[in-house]
Amino acid sequence: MRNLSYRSVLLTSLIVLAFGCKKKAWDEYYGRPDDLEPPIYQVLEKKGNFKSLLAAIDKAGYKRTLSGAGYWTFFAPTDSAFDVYFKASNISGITALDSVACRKIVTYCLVYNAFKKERMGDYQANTGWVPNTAFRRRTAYYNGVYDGVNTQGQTVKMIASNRNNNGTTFYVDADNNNKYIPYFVDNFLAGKALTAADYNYFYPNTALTSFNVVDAVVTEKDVPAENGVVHVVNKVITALPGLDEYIGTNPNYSEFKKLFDKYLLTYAINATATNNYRIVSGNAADVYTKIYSNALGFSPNNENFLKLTDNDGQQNSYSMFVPNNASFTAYLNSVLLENYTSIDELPIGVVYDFVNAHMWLNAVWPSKFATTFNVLGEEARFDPGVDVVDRKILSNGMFYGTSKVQEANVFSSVYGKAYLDPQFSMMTGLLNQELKFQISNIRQKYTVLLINNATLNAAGFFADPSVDNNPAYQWRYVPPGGGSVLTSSSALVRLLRVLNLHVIPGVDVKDLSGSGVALTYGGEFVRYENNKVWAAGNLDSLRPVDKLVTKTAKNGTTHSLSGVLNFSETFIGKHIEKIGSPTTSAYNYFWQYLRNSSIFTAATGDILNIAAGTPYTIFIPDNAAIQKAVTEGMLPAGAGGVPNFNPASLADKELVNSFIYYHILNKKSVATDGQESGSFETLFRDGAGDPTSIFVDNSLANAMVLTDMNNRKANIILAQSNYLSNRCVIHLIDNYLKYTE
Amino acid sequence: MLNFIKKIACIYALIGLSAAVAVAQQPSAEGTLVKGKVLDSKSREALIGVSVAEVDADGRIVKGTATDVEGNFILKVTNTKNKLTASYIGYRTNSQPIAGKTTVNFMMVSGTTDLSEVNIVGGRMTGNGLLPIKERNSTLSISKINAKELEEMQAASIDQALQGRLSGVDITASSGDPGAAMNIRIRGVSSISSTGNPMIVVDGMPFETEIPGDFNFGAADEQGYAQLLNISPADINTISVLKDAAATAAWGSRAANGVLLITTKRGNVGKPSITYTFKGSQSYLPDAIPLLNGDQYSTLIPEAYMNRTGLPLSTTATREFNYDPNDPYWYYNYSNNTNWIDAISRTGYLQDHNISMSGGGEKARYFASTGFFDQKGTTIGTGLKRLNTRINLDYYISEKIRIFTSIAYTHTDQQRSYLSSKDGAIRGMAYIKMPNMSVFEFDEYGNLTPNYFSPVSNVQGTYSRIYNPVAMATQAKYDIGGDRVVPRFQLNYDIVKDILKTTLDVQFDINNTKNSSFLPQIATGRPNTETVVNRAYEGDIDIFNINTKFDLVFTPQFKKAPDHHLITFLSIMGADAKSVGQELMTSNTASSLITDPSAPSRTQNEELAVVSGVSQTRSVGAVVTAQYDWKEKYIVNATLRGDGNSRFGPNYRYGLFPSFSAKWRASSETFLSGIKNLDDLAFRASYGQAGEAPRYDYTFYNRYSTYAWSYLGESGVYPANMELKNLRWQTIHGSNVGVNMSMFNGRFRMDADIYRNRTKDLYFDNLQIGSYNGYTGTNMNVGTLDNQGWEIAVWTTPIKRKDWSIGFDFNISRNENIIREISEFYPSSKGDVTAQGEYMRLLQIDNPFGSFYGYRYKGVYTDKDATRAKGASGKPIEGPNGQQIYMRFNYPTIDYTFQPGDAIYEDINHDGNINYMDVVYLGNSNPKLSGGFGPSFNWKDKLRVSTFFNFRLKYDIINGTKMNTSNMFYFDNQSTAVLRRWRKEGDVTDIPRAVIAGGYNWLGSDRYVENASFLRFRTITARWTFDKKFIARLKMKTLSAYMTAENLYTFTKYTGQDPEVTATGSDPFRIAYDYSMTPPAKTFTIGLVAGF
Repeated sequence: MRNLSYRSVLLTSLIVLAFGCKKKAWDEYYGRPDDLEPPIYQVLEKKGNFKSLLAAIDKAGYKRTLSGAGYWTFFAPTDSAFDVYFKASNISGITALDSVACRKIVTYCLVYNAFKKERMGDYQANTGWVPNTAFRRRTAYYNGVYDGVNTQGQTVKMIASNRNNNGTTFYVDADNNNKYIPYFVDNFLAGKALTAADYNYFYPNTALTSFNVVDAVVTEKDVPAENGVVHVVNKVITALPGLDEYIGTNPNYSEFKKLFDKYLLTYAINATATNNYRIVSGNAADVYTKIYSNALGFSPNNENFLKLTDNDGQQNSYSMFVPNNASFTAYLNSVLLENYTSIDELPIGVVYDFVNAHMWLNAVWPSKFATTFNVLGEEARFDPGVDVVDRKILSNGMFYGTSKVQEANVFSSVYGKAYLDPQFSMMTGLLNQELKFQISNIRQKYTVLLINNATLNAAGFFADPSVDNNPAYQWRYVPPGGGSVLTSSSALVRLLRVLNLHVIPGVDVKDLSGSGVALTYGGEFVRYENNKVWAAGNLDSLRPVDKLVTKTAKNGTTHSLSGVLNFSETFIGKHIEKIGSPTTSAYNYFWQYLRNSSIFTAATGDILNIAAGTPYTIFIPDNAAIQKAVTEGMLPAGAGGVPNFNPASLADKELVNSFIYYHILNKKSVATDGQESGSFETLFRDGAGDPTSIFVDNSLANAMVLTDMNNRKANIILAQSNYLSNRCVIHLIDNYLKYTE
Repeated sequence: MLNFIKKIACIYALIGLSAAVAVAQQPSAEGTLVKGKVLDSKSREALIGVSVAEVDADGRIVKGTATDVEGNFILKVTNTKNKLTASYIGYRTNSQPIAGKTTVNFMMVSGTTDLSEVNIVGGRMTGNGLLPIKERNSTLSISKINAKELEEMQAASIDQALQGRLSGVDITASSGDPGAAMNIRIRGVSSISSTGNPMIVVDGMPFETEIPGDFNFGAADEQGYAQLLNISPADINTISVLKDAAATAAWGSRAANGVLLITTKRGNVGKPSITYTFKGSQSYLPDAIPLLNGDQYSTLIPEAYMNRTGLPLSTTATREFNYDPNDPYWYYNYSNNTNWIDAISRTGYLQDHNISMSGGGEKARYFASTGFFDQKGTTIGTGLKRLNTRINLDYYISEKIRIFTSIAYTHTDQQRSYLSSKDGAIRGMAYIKMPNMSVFEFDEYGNLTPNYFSPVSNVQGTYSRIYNPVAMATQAKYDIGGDRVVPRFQLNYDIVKDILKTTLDVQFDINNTKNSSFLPQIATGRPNTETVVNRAYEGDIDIFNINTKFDLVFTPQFKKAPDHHLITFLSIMGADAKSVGQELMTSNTASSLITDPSAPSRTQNEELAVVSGVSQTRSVGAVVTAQYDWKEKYIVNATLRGDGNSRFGPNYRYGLFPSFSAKWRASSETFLSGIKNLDDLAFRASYGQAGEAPRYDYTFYNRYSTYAWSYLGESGVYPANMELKNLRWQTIHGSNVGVNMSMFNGRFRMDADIYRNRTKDLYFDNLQIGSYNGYTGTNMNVGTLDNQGWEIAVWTTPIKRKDWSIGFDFNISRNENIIREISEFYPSSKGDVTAQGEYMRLLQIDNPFGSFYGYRYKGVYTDKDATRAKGASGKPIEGPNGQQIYMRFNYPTIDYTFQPGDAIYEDINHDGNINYMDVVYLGNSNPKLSGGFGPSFNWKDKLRVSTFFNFRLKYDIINGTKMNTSNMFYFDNQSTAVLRRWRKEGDVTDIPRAVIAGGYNWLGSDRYVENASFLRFRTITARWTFDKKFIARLKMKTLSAYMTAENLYTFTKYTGQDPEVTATGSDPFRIAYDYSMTPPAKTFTIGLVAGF
């Protein structure tokens, strides 16, 4: 029994002990750790030198949030930074700031999610961290609804687009269009190969350290707090304007801005924003979304970047180079309005192209002008030291105010000569289908033969917008000489073949007064002589056209013509017949052999193995050379060694065919433009069925030397060469070409 | 049914026969007039209205009359050998033989106390519920408790109060809500497929507690049907638990998991006594696990999300963490510090009134009670109301014939949460629900509205992953209404007095349960095109049970050899259970106020349907028992039971189950008689078999089902199950060795038992088989399972003085569950150690269940350098070219490289790769010991202070709550422990960094394994019994009042909410996961017992 009493005493003491254990284990596990920092607000309070900032936080309505909730990076300006700020902006103190101003300071320095300095330079892609590529972070600040002036000049409530207009989407309800804050950490700058010069270009008065935020220097980084990280900065940073705001409020760029107002902006009632605005403000006004045209590279009021991924704005921003009023007006009058009287008359595409030439979907760093390309694919054509008069890093991009315009290729190239002249509008339309980007490349030479609308109409080409919605199928061709009318794609195909005859790539033919031959875009040659120009069709119709006006562009020359260059619709055989039939013709012997050969169809002019739509070159040895070939046994001889044009034996017929085939270049037109030399394939196949070739030396213009398989040479007889046929050029040569079987 | 009618007919025939016998016994005689006067013995005044009766030799009333105003009576007696009795309220019944007299006068003695309370038996009786045997002669392992010991606890059903009181009986709650069912396990689970609940026997007749397995009631689980609720604890007299197979064998197939015998109170001879008891209690939930508040949560989630790859939460798509005061709707709705736990909790209260009246004369005795019970749960929306009545009426027709009848009617109305605990009940939701969210919605202006804030979806997901728990608690409903009527008739007839007795029993049990539930749109927040909106359900199950029993007890008297005693017993039992169920579930009623599924609504999906079902089960059983003892020193008992059950096919429908037990009373031996203080010492041994039938009906038929779709108006038919012709009885072979000891005049008593229950032909439902059989699974007899252990119970009175005494009771037990043999189709391991939160469990033949394996947690990598792989020497491992090698997880399949802030798992084999080869033994979730003890103090029989403690020792559980509240893997709220999570290089802590859906920070490791040994101060009660004189002045018989406090404190090192966790289910891979979010409520009860 006594044992039992002892036991109960023991038990009681055990109980007391256990009681202690449980409580301790529980508290240890669930208690707040001693080393856990207080929240941001209390951290700042504890530091003591953030009295102004704390007051601003109170006024901005963020005390409750920063005292516990969320997960933030906060760039905290010290009291001394505020003193400087107050002095500079002539404010008596924090009491003089209203809640809106406080919000601009507090929320713009408040970045979603906590980042220590080591992570600031990394971009948060959908796939994860991309190191050393980020210099911007989304802040808690956004403009929301503001008063703006619409196209009609009325002041209405507006809200910015928060997406780049792609034609359907320009606003997403849940997105507040939060602004980004730019900062500069050493690993980012190193990763981008940027230097202090790039930073000081924008902020000449702030030294670049390993961690700068806008124009402020982080004096104490990575201060931990329960709900984020604080970086202490030495300047007050207020919300930066966006590109749209900055251009809209700066009178230096008012002329440029007018382009937006007049041609590139629309305003649409935004139901959600209106509803929210009415609720928050109690005001019954409608809210309009300010929508930039979808023809622009981006919407300058969109604070998000491309939004291809949620955070792509961290690693890049827009850039705009905006010419000041003087330079803009000068360019407008001298270039854009050279053939127009006002902007209203300009095709709207001109405005798009002009504005897009000033927009970059990249951050254009001062040291990278030459390697950063705008919406049109062109580098920044400015000298950062001379042409830029105003430079800012804004909330959604980099802004450069310039003393000259960005000379866009579409205006300064040969294309521009058609583009900016209303009389060539049909031609411009045709060029836009395929050739615009090539001929507006200022690094390639082009010669363009311009045909005005009237001439095209006279040649039977016109557009009928009533037949099809697709401009490409609105073309009509009514043969001037009568015949069936071509419509739809047939007309377009014909027109494009004609158009291609007018574009000479790679060569700048400055002057047409001399004589020459030139390869056009479609692979056919044109010839000019004494300011007259013709193509094969013109030769058929005996109607060469006259050159009218010559203009010089950055990448070549344009010549306007009095008529249309046309292609030939006659078979090559017929052309040989035409020039070879007269017995006096130097082509006659060749023609005789061809006419009687088994590969020729007399009725149509077809030559076997020569297909329509394929380029060929035919080298015709003159009669003397044929005779020589006969003598040397390369062609069948008759009695007395004269050519036997119509041999009976199959072997002889085959000899003729082989001879003819070896004189025709397969799929290749060459003329004496001095452009292209090389070994080209002929139609002749050797015994093994392999193609054979001729070496063409075309290194000098107006002279061409051929070398056959036996290393024999033949020269072109220039006067009777360069005969333009159907995708084919016929040359007369002074020696026959010998193939080896 | 035919069988049943036959039985009834048989019973009536027997009754008729006995009546005929009784009539035949009456001797025919001429009427003799007897007159007399009845006077008060003290005042000599005549007593008016005294009933005077002629009673025959068997004590049966033959004729009766009443005295007139002068106390005179005249009675024409039929036999002058009979007796006359006079009985009157307030007086002792007087009886005189007539013996030929014609005048018989009575002098009545007034008595406030009961007259000659007939105490037929000479000692405490016990037994297996069928055959009453003197407790000291019982050869069986039985624990018994008097309900009086439990009456001070607030409990809706008796099982709640029994927790920890009985050795070898493990009772755990399925949830803390009012009316929730309890898991009762007697000596472990002997099956891996059944529910494992024991059979309940009330007053010798089975009481059905299970809903047929085929019924699937909406969202409810079986735990929702707490049928024990239908027995009011106030009506209960004693509870015994039959533990060994020899004891349960007599009850047949349903008793395989043990038997709980309940006897209800019955009337005693005496003046009517009215007892009123009252219990009132208040329950308080103790503080829950501290969770992050809204602010802390709003810091955690963006951090955890960004930690995954570096991509942050989109401030556009996820506005819940923007905290932008200029955006009022989102700001006000998502900048709160809501304590969801508090929002769904309240103080629970309970009131329980019971009025009972009992009493009776020599002929008729009655006990009648009415009770009203009303409980409001600690979770909003839960409650239980019960109205119960019971009449136990005993009529002693004669000394040979007695009729016992009872009728009990219980009406219950239970309100529970719409979702059961299995589906992640409301409290679980409150734990994970984002705390920065508001309970009620703020409008766009930032004004609080009365609407629940139930957005269609947010960062946490949509219903049913997440919902507003307050809206769910208050607006969704799940009501279970029950009406149960149990009329019961028993006839006892002593064919030969003291030698041959028969008993006939019929019990009807009409049990109707109706569930109705409704899931309103305001709780789910989903658009009204979905079927989880305004979903209404009603289900009704009507069960009609008939149990019959016929007993024959033959007790031959050996007059020449009085030391020999023999009792033989025959019992034939039949049971027929029929159930009819109907269900209807529809969705999208027109409004959240129309909760009736019969209103116009949709039945779109498969789950929205009209279902009905009928099933019937029958069983018959016959038991033959013989118990013999010599001088009460050597006692043997043999029982043979035959069982038949309609759930088997013809091949194995009938089974025969023998059992044998013996007892040796050593204290009666002469060599021990010298020990003065030894009252009793007896050793017991038993062996028995008990068969168990499967849970489902009709599995021996090959049943066909139709597809749910049709083609050209015809639907296809397919065979739904295999025909299980050879499914056999699952048989428990129980062996038990025990000792009973009593010393110091009963001041020290002890029972101890060692047992092994071997289950052979173990059932397993839906065992996976090759699909080329045409079925994916089937029910089979798959193996052999052992439950073995020991238990000791001690009752002591260490100090006993004149005025006061101290008592100390103690019980302790241990149970192990071991598979001995198992089908080859049965999987041998479970748990994928490459998946988060999973532990490996192995099924090892001959090893106890409950062991689990995992990684060893070593803290958190503080920085990049720490994640370098190190070899056995402790030096960093280098690549062939000297490159640094970092720790990886499960190379090459997963090949995750550990990052600073990730969890460190011990690299057991030092290969720089954490994988299955680093898995080690972590613990076992079976307690080595469990039990309870209770010191009590008694002073002058006026003040009694009793306490009760229960404990479980040396077991490991997996703290699933800790896992879920610190894994930081989802958008769910977490505990405040995560405040010390790793956040920056150099942090030294035990909580890894937060990573949503990334990393491997919560693999199954010893980080979540805790020793859950505990000792719980379960109850303390102080009871004051008022002085008799004082009571007499109030004209009362008894008066006592008490106060009880429950769950005052739990002593443990466990850091979860409540260490009392058992592995649930019967799966051999079960281990104890603690997902309980809330510790047991602290409950304070005051009570009053008044008798008139």
